[in-house]
Amino acid sequence: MKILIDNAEVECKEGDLLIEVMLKNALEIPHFCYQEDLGADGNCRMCMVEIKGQKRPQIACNTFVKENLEVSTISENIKEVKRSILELELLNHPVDCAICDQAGECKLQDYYMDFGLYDSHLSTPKTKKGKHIDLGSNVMLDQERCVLCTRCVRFTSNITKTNELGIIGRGDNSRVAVAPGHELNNPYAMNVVELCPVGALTSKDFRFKQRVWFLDSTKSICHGCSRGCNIYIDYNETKYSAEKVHRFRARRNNKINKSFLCDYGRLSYKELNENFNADVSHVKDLKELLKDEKKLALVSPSMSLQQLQAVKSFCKDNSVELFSLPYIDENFGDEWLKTNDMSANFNGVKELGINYDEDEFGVSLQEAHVVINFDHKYLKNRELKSKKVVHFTTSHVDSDYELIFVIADFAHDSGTIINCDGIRQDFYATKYESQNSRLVDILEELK
Amino acid sequence: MGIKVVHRHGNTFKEKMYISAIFSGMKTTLKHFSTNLKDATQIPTVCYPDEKPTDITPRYRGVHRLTHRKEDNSIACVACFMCATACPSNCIDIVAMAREDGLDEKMPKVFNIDLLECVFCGYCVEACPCDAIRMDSGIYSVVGETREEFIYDKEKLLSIKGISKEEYSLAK
Ligand code: SF4
Ligand code: SF4
Ligand code: SF4
Ligand code: SF4
Ligand code: FES
Repeated sequence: MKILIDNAEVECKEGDLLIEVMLKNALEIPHFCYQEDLGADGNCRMCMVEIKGQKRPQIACNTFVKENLEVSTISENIKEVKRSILELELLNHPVDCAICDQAGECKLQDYYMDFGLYDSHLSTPKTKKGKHIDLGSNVMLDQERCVLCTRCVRFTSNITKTNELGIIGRGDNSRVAVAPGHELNNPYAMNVVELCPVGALTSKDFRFKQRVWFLDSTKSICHGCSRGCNIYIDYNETKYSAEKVHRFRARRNNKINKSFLCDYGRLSYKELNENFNADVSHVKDLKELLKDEKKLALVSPSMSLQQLQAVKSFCKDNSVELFSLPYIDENFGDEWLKTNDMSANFNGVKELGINYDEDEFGVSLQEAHVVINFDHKYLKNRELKSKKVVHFTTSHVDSDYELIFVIADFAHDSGTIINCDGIRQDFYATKYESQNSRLVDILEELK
Repeated sequence: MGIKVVHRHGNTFKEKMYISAIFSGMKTTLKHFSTNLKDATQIPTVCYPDEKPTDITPRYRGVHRLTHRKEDNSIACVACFMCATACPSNCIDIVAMAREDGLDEKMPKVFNIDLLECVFCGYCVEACPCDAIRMDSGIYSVVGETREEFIYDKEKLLSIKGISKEEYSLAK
């Protein structure tokens, strides 16, 4: 079935939501309260469109498409409607973009530049509300900047079902708040920062660190657990500061994480900024060690398929016994995104047929003279008496080991991992060259 | 787009001879020469650095300064990075931090301008929404022996006084 939007034909199915059809086709449709994974609420009226045959403008987030629908989003009439709604929305807004972290990715800024551009008609003082209120869980609230779209409220009531947030007061005085004496407290709380279309909810963790227009983004996958939530790594390198990852943002994937991330995963970017500061070893010294008879290797189950494959063939060529053990934490998982298996690619380990039997590993470890650790947390900073230990590591380890090689972490090395549901996903390297070599390259050199 | 045809000058015989143009040029030169010969005090040339210029106005783009707020003489800058974004030589280094005094939420922890890289274009002043950075210091000469001396930090920039009558930030 086809409908007409601004005189262009658009393909859709009977009964689809008009706003979804438009967003799917990358058509411009301003909206605050509608969000793909929270659904429509119909409170902001920003998504008004003109529909042929209907006297008054309609909201696109509550219009279902049917045969012969003709929609206009650009007529003078509808532009005027949107302008007035936006003015109303912004009436008491403090316009403090200069100190607002959302500036640069703020819907109010975008829409004002697109079709606002009016002068304020307000002659009385603006209504004052609370600013920089610490809600808990790294979330800061500025009630004056809020457009009352209720996305955050709906997230806590419909998705996490923890109901911390609500809207109190009437008219000009309405504001988002937590109940007195309570705080925002759930393992997914920081999602409200990303859901908020304006700067009313900002992250205490990211607060004032960077202006968003200085950031680059790379598509990646969270390595926090086996769910494999899709993320953007936001990072940059400036003239006066070295490369640094500043935040993870959710990248929408309908099959896995929708638009959400858990707070643990969201904050796990910090590991990527840990600097390694010790001397690295020479490849030829490792060749020397490989002459020993009893060798064992343990590979991290968070490595990509490409890395695992390279490790596997390295071990085969040098007759090293190879193991991988999953990172299990019985207290981490929940019914939604988080899983007890905190390794990113344990399914990949299984697919490549790498031995993950813990008992067998224990026996082999007793006997081995040389232990090669491919970034597995279990052997990191663990004392192994009377054994020669070789570390391939992405982060800092105490340097009293036989040999240490620093390898590029997942932000600097692209690859593929398989999540807990068997979905294969690619992640990509940021645009800056890593100071550390990729594991695959080092192993290539050893051949 | 419309095209405007501009006729070429200098095609007449008189113009091609150049002689008349040379003479009219020489006339101007000689006129100034004789005036200056009669009264040397009127010569606009300044023997810098023995003589200092006297015509530096507040509009002159001198060394930057950071302004203060009228209420309590605190820093006006809110670390919005607009100046650093506009700067074509990328010579402003800002690190922001939360401001705790209740007057505002954000201020710079570090605010450095590398005057050796600055091209004194004034874009930073234009970009600032808080009238926090100005070039009305009237300082036209900076000397130093090391490169580091030319990096002006927050304290230094705040200590520079302006020569315009508006000393404080005019932002509301
Ligand atoms: S705080 Fe943000 S998400 Fe929540 S209602 Fe206000 S604008 Fe919407
Ligand atoms: S649920 Fe797992 S994969 Fe998703 S964000 Fe959290 S730690 Fe990362
Ligand atoms: S004057 Fe121009 S070059 Fe100098 S700091 Fe300002 S914007 Fe940058
Ligand atoms: S000087 Fe002005 S433009 Fe630059 S950061 Fe401060 S307030 Fe922003
Ligand atoms: S998006 Fe349709 S009313 Fe808010």
